[in-house]
Amino acid sequence: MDDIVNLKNIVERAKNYDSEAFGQLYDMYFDKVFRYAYYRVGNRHEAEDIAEQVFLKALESIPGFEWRGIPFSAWLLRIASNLVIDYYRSNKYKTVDIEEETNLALDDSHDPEYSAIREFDRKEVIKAIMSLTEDQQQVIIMRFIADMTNEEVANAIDKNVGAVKALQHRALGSLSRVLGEIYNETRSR
Amino acid sequence: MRRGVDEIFDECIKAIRNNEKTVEKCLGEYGEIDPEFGPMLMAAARLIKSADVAPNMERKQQARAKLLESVERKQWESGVGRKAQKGHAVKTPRWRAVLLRAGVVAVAIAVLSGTTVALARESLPGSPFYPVKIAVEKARIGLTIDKGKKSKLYLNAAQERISELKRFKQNDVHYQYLLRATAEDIALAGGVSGGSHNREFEESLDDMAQKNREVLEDVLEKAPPSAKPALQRALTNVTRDKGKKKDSNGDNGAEDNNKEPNSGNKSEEIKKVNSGERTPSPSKVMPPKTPEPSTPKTPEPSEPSEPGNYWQNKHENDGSEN
Repeated sequence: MDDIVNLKNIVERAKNYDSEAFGQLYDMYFDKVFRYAYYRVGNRHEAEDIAEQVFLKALESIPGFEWRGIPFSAWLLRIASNLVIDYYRSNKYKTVDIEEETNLALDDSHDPEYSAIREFDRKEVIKAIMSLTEDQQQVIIMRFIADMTNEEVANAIDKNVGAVKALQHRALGSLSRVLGEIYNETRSR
Repeated sequence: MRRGVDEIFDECIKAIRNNEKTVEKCLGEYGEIDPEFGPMLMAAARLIKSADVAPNMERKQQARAKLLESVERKQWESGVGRKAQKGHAVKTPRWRAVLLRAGVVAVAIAVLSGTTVALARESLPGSPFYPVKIAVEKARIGLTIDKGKKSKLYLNAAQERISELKRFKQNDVHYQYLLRATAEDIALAGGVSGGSHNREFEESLDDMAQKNREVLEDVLEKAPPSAKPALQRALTNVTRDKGKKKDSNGDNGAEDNNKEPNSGNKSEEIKKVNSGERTPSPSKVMPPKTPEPSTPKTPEPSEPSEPGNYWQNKHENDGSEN
């Protein structure tokens, strides 16, 4: 409860263009927005670009933000979702190859071998996610990558909780099949 | 039945995320409740495991700095007072705006009579008379059409803010507010006059910098991007002039040092700002300013503010406008 009150206070200050408050919101949500974008576009640099754009767009739109049961993170991810759509509408994504991303996206916080394994795993997950429908991708990434509740996801994508659960159910079913296939392909090489 | 599985699934996801349970443990406990439960839980657990991807830290910090710069610009573009004024100006027809301004001036003149005049003139932020003082200033500026005079009035207002802030301690909230107000007035003066293209504006700013160098160095930190070049130039000129003076005086330059013990550090600060090098705010890194005997830091409403500059100029402008 205190967290929500505190967050509302920060957002109110950010609406008056308080740079400290905006800095706090950035620190709280940048990684989450980045993760969402990363699993939507499959490229670290593009995801960083999109995450950066999300906060610049948020700066433009924040005076109109109102607390109507929509969590702030859901509002940010809605902006991110629109930017991802713009990204796919442009021809830019055609030049980005997920395979080539593997070396670029090595996690610099761990040793190289560990990072390579993790990145390989991520690449498989991204490929599997890309095989889902747009709505399924949204739900799966928000629920399990961005750690949002069903209610928060429902708010972010303008659907009811029942629809979110149904999308999640179908998406996980598809993912388990696709990941199983990728796993089998990898082992047979 | 479906709902029961969903709840158990969500519980397991939460426990796995918090490292309270492993996937295997959940499967051992609930794997039999639904044939789809196991594969779905494994897929979800794999997604959670993949969620530890992080952005490049350097890139993240660069984006943060860029964002905060945009926030600062936005803040200046839509400053609280100006935001209200702009919004009003857009919606109000011009004849109504003129009448409104005339009305404000009429009311202000009516209000500013007798003792109210004296009280408002000497008032400081926090005083009930201070808003009257500001309202009159704004009305006077608003009614001035000539850009040169308007710019001069903004600079007078900035000078008045400087006189006011010298009566507060640096850590006082009013001090910080007045720094911003000074920066805003200087920015507006520059904007009206054409800034660096206007020699009169530059000379006035140089003169202000000569008299209030330390304060303007603090103002520089708070200034909007549009006002920074002019301020930096004026402060650099002062620093250069002081240096020349010191050189020509030889050892006698010690007299200057006695007056402003921090001048060396401050000059260094200005050079860094000019070269684009980011430095922490002077108010954070520098020792407190040496108090000036003629302008005490604590508010003394009974004592008149610095004579000669602001109200005197205002009366001069009154004459010229009429």
